[in-house]
Formats: sequence, C-alpha cells, structure tokens
Amino acid sequence: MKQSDGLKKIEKLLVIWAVLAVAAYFVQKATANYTFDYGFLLEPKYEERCKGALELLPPGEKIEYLTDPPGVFDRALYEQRRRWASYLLTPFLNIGRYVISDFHRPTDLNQTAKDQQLILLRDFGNGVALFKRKASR
Amino acid sequence: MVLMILSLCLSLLLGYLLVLILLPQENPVGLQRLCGLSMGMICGLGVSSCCFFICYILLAPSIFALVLTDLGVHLLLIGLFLFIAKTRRKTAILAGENKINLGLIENEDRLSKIFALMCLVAFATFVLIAMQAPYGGHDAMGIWNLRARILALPQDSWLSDLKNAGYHPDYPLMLGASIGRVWMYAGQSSTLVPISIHFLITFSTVFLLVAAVWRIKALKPGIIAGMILVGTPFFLRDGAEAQQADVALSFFVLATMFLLVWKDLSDKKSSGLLTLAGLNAGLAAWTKNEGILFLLGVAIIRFGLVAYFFGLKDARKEMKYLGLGLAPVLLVLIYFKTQIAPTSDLIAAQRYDAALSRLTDFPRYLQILKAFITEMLSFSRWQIYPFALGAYLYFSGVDLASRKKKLAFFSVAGIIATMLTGYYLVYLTTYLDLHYHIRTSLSRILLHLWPLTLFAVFLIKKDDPIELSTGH
Repeated sequence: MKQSDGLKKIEKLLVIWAVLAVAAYFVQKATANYTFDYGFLLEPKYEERCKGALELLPPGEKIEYLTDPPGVFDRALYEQRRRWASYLLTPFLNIGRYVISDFHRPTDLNQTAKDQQLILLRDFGNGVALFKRKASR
Repeated sequence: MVLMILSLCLSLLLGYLLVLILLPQENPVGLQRLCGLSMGMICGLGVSSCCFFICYILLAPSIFALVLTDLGVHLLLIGLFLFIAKTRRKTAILAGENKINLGLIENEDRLSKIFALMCLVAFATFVLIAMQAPYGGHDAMGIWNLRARILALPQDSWLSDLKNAGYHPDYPLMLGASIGRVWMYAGQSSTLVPISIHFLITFSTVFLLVAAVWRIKALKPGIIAGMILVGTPFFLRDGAEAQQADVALSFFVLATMFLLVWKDLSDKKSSGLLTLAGLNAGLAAWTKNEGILFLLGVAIIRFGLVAYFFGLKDARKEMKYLGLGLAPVLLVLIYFKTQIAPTSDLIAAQRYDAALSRLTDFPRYLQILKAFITEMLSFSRWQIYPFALGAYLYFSGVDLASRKKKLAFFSVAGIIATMLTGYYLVYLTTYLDLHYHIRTSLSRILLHLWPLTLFAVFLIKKDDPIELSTGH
C-alpha cells in the first residue's frame, strides 16, 4: 500500500468513526430514561419548593434546613436531596434564626415546631414551611 | 433574559476586541475570524470573571459597581481597538496589502459540510443533555455553580461563604465568577446561564482546534482534528452533562500552546501573540488548580527551550511579553489564593510519615501507571483513536526538520509530559483512597490534554503537497 493511499484510508476511518461516535451519542442521550435517576426530575420542583420561603426571609438572615430523617428514604435519595437543598439554599444556608422545612412524607408541622422549639411562620404546603427559633442560640 | 444575553455579549465582545488587538493581521480572513471568535469568546469570559472579582473586592458587591467596572473596561478596549485598527489600516494601505478569502477546494468543501452536520448533531445532543440535567453534575452543584450563587446573591457573609463553599473551596474562580457575573446582571440564577457558558466553552474549544491546525497546516487537517474532538463523547459529556471546568482548562491549555507555536513558526516577530499566550496561561491557572501546574510548566519549559534553541536574550524577551499578559490575572489569582482560599485538601491532609510510606509503596507506582495506560487506551471508549492517530502519523510521516518546528513540538510535548508527571505525583501522594481518586478523576484530567494532544499530532505530521497549495 502506498503511503498516500494509507493516509487517505486512515483519514476516512477517523472521519467515519467521529461521525458515528457523535451520532451514537445523540441516540444514546435521546433515548435515555432519566425518570429513575435520583435528582434529575426533582430539580425544577426543588427550586420552586424553596422559592416562597426564601422570599419571606428578611434580608441578611440565614436559614437552617430541616428534612425527613435519613431512614425515611434510601440513602442515595436522602443524600441527593440534601445536596439539592444545600445548593439551592446557598448563600442563605447557615446557622441562623430561621428554619426551612423540606419534608417529603406527611408530617405534623405543629408537632415539629413544638419538638424543635420553633414558631411556625408559614406553611407553604407539601412539607415546606418557614419557622423561627423561639430563643436565639 | 435581555440583561442576561447583554451581559454575556459584553464578555464576548471584550474578548473578541482583546484578541483582535493582540493577534497579528494575517490572511486568510476566515482563519482570522475563526481564531478571533473562538479564542475571544472564552478569553472574554475569563477576563470578565477577573474584573468581576476585582470589583467585588475593591468596590461593594453590587450591580452598580459591576456595571461601572464593565463600562470602564469596555470603553478602554474599544478606544484601544479603534486606535490600533486605524494604525493597521494605514500600514496595510502603505504596504499594498489586500485581504483575500480562502477558496475551499471541492474535497474540503464536502468535509466542511460533514463537519457542519456533525456540529449540528453535537449541538442537539448538548441541548438534549442540558434539558435532562440543567443543573449539571455533583461537582457543578458542589463547586462551580455554588460559588456562582454566592457571588451573584451577595450577602454580608460572602467572604466566609466563599471560604467554606462546598467541596474544594480552594479552586480558583474563573467559572464561578463568570456564571455569577451574568446571574447578578440577570437578577436571577437561571440554569440557562451555566448551560450557555458551557456550550460556548465546549464548542469554542472545537473551533479553536480547527483554527489552530488550519493556521499551522491547512484547513482539511483542521477539520479532521475538529471532527475527532467533537467525536469524543466524554468531551461533550463533561461540558454539557457534568458542567465541569475540565473543558475550560483544556481550552486555555490549547490556546496558550497554539499561540506559542504560532509565534515559533511565524517569520514575523509578534509580541501580541506572546502577550495573548500569557493571558491564556494565566486564565488556565484561574480556572483550576491543575492550571497552576500548567502555568509553571509553560514558564520553565519555554524559558529552557527558547534559551537552548535561540539564546538567553530571546528567552528573556519571551518571558517579558508572556509576563505582560499573565500579570493581571496572576495578581488576581495570588490575591484569591493568599487571602480567600484555604489550603488544598491534597496538601493540608498530608502527614510526613504517611506521605513517606506512600512514596515507598512501590506497587502503588505500578498501580497508577497501569491506570494511566488503561485509561489512555480506553478513554471515553474511544477505542480506535490512539491507534488510528498513530497510523495517521506513520503514513503521513513526521517533520521535525527545522529548529522552529523542533522548538514548537518540544514545547507542546514538554507540557504534556510535565502535566502527566504532575498528575502522576498527585496520585502517588494522595491521602484519598487511590482507587477512588483514580476512578473519579483520571478520565477528566486526561481531557485537559486531549485537544492539545490532537494539536501535537497535526503539528508534527508532514505537510501534504495538496494542503500546502490550498493552505494559508
């Protein structure tokens, strides 16, 4: 095989491979089912969930996060939700006078407030509520 | 939405003007524009992120201070650009130069169409991925976009928030500040911003590679190089799905080395190329910690090689112009690293006796070497690329005849070797579980060098007589 023929064949091979790789990747992504991937479908809902409580938060105040205990969901989903919360509540998330709840299982918010020494300021529904600490820590 | 697009366009304009001012005017016009656009857009993001950070530190973190800083920088650059454009036009008229457009021969025209189609499919894939995972991967939420939120929604506690932000708060701020700046303009933290920025970075890297190979060889190999990069699924995945900083770093690594090679192979002396290379090297360090290793590598290797091939005087001169572009970004980086960032966990967690035991654990050396070789051969399930590129070089032949080409190639090869050695040493001394550390990072750090490796292959291949007749 002449060198120039070999070069042309290799060039063709590289081009065809690259074209196939892009096409295959497109098909793979177009047919991917993200429904069961933790987090992906929760994303937009999460942003919406936190929005109301953050709007009520007085300027300069920090917020603490309260969610279901780890045993309620499997570990991966629990970790995923905590990650989401810590991202979407940044830069407001820290030790502070206010607390946001993010329960995914039916929870008695009044009982939670009583247990945690909190005052329930507003219930946004679906387990999201804004609380204030009874005494500063 | 309008403010979001406007602020993004301001960054891009800034970079485009900067690159047009510093790049030498050369034929063909198409190449000039491709270089200007692909390099300018991302340099603009990098420079804007530095300005944003400076404005954050020197003035109050507010939209008013940001607009004031942006206006000042843009007016200054536009003035400089108009002045230089006027001077250049005069010089061109005196020299009787005319810009010509490059006509594509039939073969290249067909290849260009296939490449355009490939890019369209890649764009569609990117959009598809962005729709499925608009917030990016874990690192995007835990590092890059998290810092963007801290900077975009300023609180009195922003400094301590930044010091404790997610994991790796020691990582530089290029990506976080770029995204945060646009979010501050927009007044909301829309996922559209990081997606758009990663889209620009990913495809600018592809077009920069095309422009780079086009500049040093011809359009056809440039397109082939671009096709191979787009056809590396991990490259798209890292930019679109994960929204990591690895593609951005690979961009600055490629841009720096391309500009240095351009200067090496050019007959005209161009301080602009060196200044721009210095700026890109600085932005690499402002993007990720690995970029600092790259910056040190560039300074040491270039000084040594230029001194060896052309003497100490030339080496000192080159360092002077590199330093000119590098200095502003380096000052910002030094401030960030000394005043804000905590010590890297990879350094802070080191204990003398533990490090010593890792260094004397010889099976560990082999384990890392084996992982490197396995990953290089199977990276992103690319299967044929390493072998096909080897065959490509075999059939095309290697050309390292002139001193200029030797300097260019050894610079690129030296940087690749330095970076790989640096990464190897990090694995060797890491306090993390070695298997975990390699599994979660090796493919990404190899991505830093992948566009540059492609550039190196096309740099040393022998010129094709047909390419020479249709090239620049």
